Amino acid sequence: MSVLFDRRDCGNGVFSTEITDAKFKSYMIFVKMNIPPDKEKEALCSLALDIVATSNRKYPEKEQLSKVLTGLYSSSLGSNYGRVGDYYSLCFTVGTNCDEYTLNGEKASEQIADILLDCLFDPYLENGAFSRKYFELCRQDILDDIEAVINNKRRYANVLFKKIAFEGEAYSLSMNDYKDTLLAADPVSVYKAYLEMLRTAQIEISFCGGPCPDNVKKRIIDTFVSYKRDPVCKDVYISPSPLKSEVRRESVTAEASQCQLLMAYKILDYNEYASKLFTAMLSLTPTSKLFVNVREKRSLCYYCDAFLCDLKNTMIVNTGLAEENLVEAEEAVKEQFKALADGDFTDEEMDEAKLSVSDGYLSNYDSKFSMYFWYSYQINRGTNDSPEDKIRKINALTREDIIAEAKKYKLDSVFILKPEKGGEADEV
Amino acid sequence: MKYEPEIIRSKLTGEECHLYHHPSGLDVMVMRLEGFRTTEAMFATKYGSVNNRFRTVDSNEVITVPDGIAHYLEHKLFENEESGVYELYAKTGASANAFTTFGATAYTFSVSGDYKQPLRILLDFVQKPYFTQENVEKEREIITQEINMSNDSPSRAIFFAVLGAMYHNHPVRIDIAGTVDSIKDITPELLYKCYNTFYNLHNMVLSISGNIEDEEVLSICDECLTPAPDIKLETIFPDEPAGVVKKRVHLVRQVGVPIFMLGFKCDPLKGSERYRRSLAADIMLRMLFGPLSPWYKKAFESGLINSAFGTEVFSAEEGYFTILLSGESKNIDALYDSIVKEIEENKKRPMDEDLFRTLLRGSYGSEIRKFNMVSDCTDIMCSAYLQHVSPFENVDILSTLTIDEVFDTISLLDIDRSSLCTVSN
Repeated sequence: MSVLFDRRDCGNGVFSTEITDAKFKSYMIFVKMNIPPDKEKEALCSLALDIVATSNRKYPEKEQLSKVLTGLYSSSLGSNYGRVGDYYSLCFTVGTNCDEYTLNGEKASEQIADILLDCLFDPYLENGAFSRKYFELCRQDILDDIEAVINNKRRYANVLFKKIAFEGEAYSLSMNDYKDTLLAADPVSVYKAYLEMLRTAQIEISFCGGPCPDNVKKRIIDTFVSYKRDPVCKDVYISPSPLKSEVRRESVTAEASQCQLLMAYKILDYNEYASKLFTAMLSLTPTSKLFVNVREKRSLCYYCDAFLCDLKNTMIVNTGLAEENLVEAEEAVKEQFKALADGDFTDEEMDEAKLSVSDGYLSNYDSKFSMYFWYSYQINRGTNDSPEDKIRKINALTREDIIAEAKKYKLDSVFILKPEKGGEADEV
Repeated sequence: MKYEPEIIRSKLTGEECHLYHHPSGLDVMVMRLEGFRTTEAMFATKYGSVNNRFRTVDSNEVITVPDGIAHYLEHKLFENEESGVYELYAKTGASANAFTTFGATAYTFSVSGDYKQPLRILLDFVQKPYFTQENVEKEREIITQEINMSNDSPSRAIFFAVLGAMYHNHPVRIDIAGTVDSIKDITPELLYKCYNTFYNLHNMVLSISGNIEDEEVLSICDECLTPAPDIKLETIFPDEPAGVVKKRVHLVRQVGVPIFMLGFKCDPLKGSERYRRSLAADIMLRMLFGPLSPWYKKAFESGLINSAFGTEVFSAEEGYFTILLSGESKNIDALYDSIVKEIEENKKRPMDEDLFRTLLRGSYGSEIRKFNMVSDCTDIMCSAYLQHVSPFENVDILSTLTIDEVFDTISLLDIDRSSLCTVSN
């Protein structure tokens, strides 16, 4: 088992991370651009990244680029964006087979590097701005996606919930908040925002999976480093969310037959390792408090999960349930937090949670995506734990550590999405 | 006991898996993956939501069971007489799960540490049902909530609406979890009846891959499996007319952008013939309607479709074969007309050979990457076994597939045998 992890400060606000394991036959290159929170810039840069993922000067039509990628053994190319703490993170990704797995000895790596660099640094332009066609198409795609949020009630509830749990913070923003900016945008303003992002963003380039040739990595890194830039860099992205003085409650209705209950618990003095184990004991293991006591024993819901937004020092409990169970389920969730804070758990439960967490951490080695997310998380927090490092720290935790951590979590917000009317499909 | 495997090998990558016919009646598929830490196992029975009419082993009578019972059984099997199965897994660090599809129910675990004890737990609990009036009743509330939650999903609703519009009698038209009403009729007795019929080792497979040794796996099978007589299971499917039930269905739901699904009902096929036809149809769909096709470019650029558009061949051994085109559109009527026109025009003109070769090459690339995730290997071996094909069947087909075969599948897009389902506010 040989996994190479190598992170370097390449200068000019460019950092490279190499996570290589020869057992993988393909690899991904992630180019992440982190920018400070700014609603308008976030909207424009998101659209810009989608546009550069469609074409470039060499392949001005989306179909031409797609055909080249398909012919290159179904290589992938994509864009996505989201939040890292309160910062905004835009990621351009390509993936391809390692050169030794091409059929006729082609250098797929060099071709995919060309495509990546052409899309990012030599996009297809018209009159010094993005093409009107792809500007319109990509904008419409984002607007459609914003409209379609309501199709998935769990996703919809999460968007609304973040508005109250993280009120006044950049973390509360969703794509819906970008709608006005997008509608007012034009190819010139989007291209301008894109160039500014290239100039100022902290750039994190990650090569993850099977081996990517050194000359390819060097070419990509050198291109970014030699670009004329004035970067805004940040060491860590932790941005704790303040605890409200009173628990905020809100409820909305939607056409659905089931309810979504979301609860945010916040913690001021966050111990990453204790919180991870606490979360496992609360929700992640087969013997966890929420699963056993809220779902299995009392049949109060179909699911009840807790997850940590740990750059925000917040734990979110997400429950899908029938309306008549709302009050009892909310109380039952609170009881589980209290039980852990009161030390109402056995050593066996804690040991099982440690085992489960350890097993999960080690499984990251078998997925290039998981390894990428593992080390991205470390970078965002300013830590450098390997899965084994973290397992050691978690295994060293005691009952008292868990009790102390559980006691620090305070309920901050409760959000309920309720049925407006029966959810049966009306067939016409 | 020493076992000799049937070795199944990929011609493209040289990867191989081993098939063992264990004397208990169970077939075991093993793939050892060098360098991986994780082990994933899947213990599956050829029993899914469509198997709702069958001949019972005890009385030899043909019975029809309530819709959703296979899924209900899956939920209930996680409880044994002494304790919950999850509690046993918790002592090993393994994470366990299960799922029910139209044609199968599978129980899985994944572990990075020692896989032997989780494997014992898996083989043991699936062989030991424990259904009581009380524990069956308790589960009803959870499954009711699960069904209601699924009903809140327009994409799931449209999928079953289009199947319901295409199929008159075939149980594929019914949601895997059944309905809130149908699960009310499920009793411990019925669960035992289904269990005793379908959870027979001759009707099951163990698929396991990762950081494992064949001998260890088989030794645990020797230890944990109770030999079962081959009961010559008989599942009965109703006669299904060739035509569809309804040409068009509309659902009213709260959606952001109207969604659609156009389904083409095709004649069912079995085994390698089905698999080959399905792969050929998939390439045909990508040639006619995929992102590289002239139609896609036109439809996308004119705003008829957005990036949610997609195509799928949805078929199985159990008597259904459909082709689905789905996505979001603000002008579904115009989109429908455009699709119909494209089909008719493509029936008359030769296919683009260059595009065909590009798509084949892309498919090869995907095949090379396919067996590089432990969970994928376990899943592919299991589903291939249940569908009576080799896990490496795709590669064999790709190497011999002709453009004429692909062209021939355009005939599957028969508008007279299609149903369009739409969802809007």
